[in-house]
Amino acid sequence: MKHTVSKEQWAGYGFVSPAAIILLLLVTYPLIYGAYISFFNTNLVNIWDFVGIHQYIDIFSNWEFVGKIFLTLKYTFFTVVGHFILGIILALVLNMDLRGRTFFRAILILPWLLPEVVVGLLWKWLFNPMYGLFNYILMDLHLISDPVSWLGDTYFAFIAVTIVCIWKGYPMVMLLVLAGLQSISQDTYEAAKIDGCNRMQSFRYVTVPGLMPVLLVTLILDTVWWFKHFTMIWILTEGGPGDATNVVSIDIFKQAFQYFDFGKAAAMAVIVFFVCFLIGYVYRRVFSSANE
Amino acid sequence: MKSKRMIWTSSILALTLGITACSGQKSEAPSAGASTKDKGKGVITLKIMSATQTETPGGPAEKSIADKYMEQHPNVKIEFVGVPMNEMYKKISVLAAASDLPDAFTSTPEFMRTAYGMNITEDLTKLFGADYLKEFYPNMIQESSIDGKLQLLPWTATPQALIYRGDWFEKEGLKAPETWDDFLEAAKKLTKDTKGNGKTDQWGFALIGTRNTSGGTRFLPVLRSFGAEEIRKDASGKWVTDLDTPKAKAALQFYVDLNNKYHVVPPGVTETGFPEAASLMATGKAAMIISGPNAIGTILSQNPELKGKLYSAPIPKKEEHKATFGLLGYSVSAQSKNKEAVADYLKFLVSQENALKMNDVTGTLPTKIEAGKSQQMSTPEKAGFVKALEFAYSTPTFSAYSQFYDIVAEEYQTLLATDSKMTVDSIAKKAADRANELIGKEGK
Repeated sequence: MKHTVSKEQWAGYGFVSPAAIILLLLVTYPLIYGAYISFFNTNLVNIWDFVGIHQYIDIFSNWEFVGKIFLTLKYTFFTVVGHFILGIILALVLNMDLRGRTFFRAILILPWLLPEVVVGLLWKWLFNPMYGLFNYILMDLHLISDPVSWLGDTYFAFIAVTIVCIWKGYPMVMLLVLAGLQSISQDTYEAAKIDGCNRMQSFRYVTVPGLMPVLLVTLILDTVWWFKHFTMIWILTEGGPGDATNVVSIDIFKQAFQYFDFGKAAAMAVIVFFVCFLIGYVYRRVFSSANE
Repeated sequence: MKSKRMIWTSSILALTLGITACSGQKSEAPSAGASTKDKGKGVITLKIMSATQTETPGGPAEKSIADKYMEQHPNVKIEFVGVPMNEMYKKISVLAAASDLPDAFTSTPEFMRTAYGMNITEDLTKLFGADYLKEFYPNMIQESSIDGKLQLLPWTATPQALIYRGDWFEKEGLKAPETWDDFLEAAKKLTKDTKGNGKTDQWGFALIGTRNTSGGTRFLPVLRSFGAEEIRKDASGKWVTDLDTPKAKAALQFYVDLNNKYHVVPPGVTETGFPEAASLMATGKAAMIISGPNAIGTILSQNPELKGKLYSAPIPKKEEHKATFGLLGYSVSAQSKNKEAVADYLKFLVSQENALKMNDVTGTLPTKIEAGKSQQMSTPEKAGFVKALEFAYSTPTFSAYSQFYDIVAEEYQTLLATDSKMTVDSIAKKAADRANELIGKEGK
């Protein structure tokens, strides 16, 4: 039986093709090209020595890169947890019928609207040991006697970077959760109330299940986004002091644009891609089985 | 209805921020594409990617030289693309990969090997001619050449030296530090509480502790002044590193002790890059800084009252004084269609009159012999830099040399960081391992 494509189907392909072509050019091609580069020792101009999987062997021949992956996972974990705690609490508050709610909604999404470079520089000045506001306040309150170099301390630098990233990223979670909360029908709450649910039980049996699809998508997006974050960490610490905040994105940037080892940088990026893919896969599996 | 209001509020806020951000931008810089020739009018447009354009007062000075050249040559239009020095090498690599290089770009002996490996630079020995190049200091031409091919026309030399507050030194009865012991003594004397409120508000030394090329280039002459070399060829011609030798460890220990033990460095050392260190000098919070002569221009532009109060001296020594050439110049792109025109402009740029003008404004040293003999080079402000050139060493001809800035920067920054668990021995071993890994890869 010969299958013929109907006019409607051609029209469908026609509508899909612009987006498909753009995706192929802007997403698929760079991904494949990046993977291709990882098999070469190259300066991207005139040296293209095929080295097979040597870059990958080189990367895993010591624990340094693996250590940076774990550091990145640790940073991502605290950042995402911070986003969810702050984002959910603020979304629940903003969902209440409070006075000035619109004003606070506008104010609270401001960090999300500011460019990352601006946020990085802003916080860097706040943390500055000589002129920074934090040291000034703490010294004024006699909580510290000498200025502290927050970004120059291997322990505090990591915390400082995480705080900045939580501040920058919580509005996305807040907005998505708020949208999710508003999509839950009031009838369900009323039904729960009639069935004898108190506020906590309503939250547990109506709000949380209603939010789960939104939370899953937000969790995947947020984790992957912050796992590969670069800009603010670079501005705040450049991965330092020492290697205290040297997450994989910083390391990849240095490999490519400071050491000009594009092949190794591409191999690292491919590994990061698979880590991100794995995170998304695990989340989907865990949450879909939880839903079942 | 309420969610609509929220969307409207958010949109207005976003729009306001967007407009504010856009209005803050200057007119768009020309893209770093290949040069163009307006065939109709016969006007040649030269696109020049310049690190100096991002600096004050160097940028305006360079621009005024270009303006003067354009006045004399109405058929030439010079368009600058300003790229900060820390970003320059990355930008060139990306543009080279995209075959979109400008006619000329800022280059240094540290980067020229990478550029040469990419085959993107014109042989300037041929372009300018050997006779013309005899007007330059021979060691600078040698430093800027590979296999007898000149890779960049040296424009300014910024040897690293010690810049210090001559007026404070005289007041304390101190002389220019000759050794590191003299330096430490001076730094201790000049670290003080000037307001009498029990808090230190003036420090002896503005140490640049950021982990980048800026910090790395300052530590390497210190390392060498202790008799250790980050990389060198041994008697058999093989590359070796001294980074884990006792001399290198002594240099590293001394450098970090300035902050950790002697406390003669302002707080936040790992965040102190060149701009911050220059500001510390300009605001009278620090007495000494290791830097090139261009730092004098930067400091004076922030505080003109310091004119005549900043002196220079070669970097103190343990074994011998050391300095980098700090050469900065322009490479001509191999793909440029206006090589002759670029060469003519560059000759104008490095001419005695313009080199002395740059020196006057920014402090950078000229690269031509005649200009170097000028009276204005003998002031206390500049004499130390001229003397430092006597101790300048050549950049090792190691292809991955630029990684050594990061290797040593990782060393000192790790040790400078508060709460660091590393010791000098362990970090020196790590640095030597990194260096040996690179040496192992060289030539493979």
